Amino acid sequence: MKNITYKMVQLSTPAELHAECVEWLSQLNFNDDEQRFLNELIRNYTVPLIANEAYAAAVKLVSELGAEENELKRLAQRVNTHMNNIEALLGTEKDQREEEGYRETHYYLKLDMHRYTIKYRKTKTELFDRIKKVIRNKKRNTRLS
Amino acid sequence: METKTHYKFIQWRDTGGLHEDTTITISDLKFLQDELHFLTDLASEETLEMIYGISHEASAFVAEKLQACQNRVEHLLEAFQLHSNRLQTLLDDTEIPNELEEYKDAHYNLMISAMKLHGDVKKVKQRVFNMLAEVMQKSKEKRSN
Repeated sequence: MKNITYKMVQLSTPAELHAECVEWLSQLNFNDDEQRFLNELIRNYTVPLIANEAYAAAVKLVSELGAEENELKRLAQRVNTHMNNIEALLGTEKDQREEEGYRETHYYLKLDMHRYTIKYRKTKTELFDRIKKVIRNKKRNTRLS
Repeated sequence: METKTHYKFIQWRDTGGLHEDTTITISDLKFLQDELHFLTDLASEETLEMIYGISHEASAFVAEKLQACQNRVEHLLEAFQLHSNRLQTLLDDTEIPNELEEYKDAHYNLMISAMKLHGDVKKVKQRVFNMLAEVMQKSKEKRSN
């Protein structure tokens, strides 16, 4: 995986790397909206979430989501800076060393984007499972009463 | 741009790489399926009515959109599954002229479909977020009154 990613970055043109940055930013922006929604969801379900026997796990989940929100912001900043650097290079004469430099940056960003995405997805799955349980209980209680 | 990049990498990928693409895409689509299930549950009128005491006319519309996404994901998953099985015939001893090229063409089309689907689902998800955020906001106001 690592080598393939590295090779892909090496074989991409600067314009292609730039396009990938645009795609990352759009994904991060979307996740930012999604996170806002998830936070709202948690606020709405806070009482049943923490009233659950899994109080500690729910708190941990919320803090993970918070950490990922911070990571998202940091990543977006890094992608932005990197993208601007590529843009600056696009119009100029080819400088081998500079190009090597931004390919390295791109490679590490790509790995970090991947890691972040996997982590975020795991947290989301856990949150979904917990909220689903809350909804199920709520439905059951309503039927019983 | 995007499209060309993909094509280039697919041309250059070996069967192991193609298999990896397929496995990752299948896992992505399965996650998408879970996510859509969750949103469908959340946006279902029953849940909305029960938890918020609001019956929202927009929820039917969103449910329909979510279902349409769900169907597309299911079809594409089937196509990818078949595609994955077909890779086996590439690896056997019988040589069929152009079989790898044809497989790569199919691979390219499937990967583009997956990308497009992810993009479309994002748009629907955004709608669901907005709708639910509004409902949750209303319910908050109702509670504080």
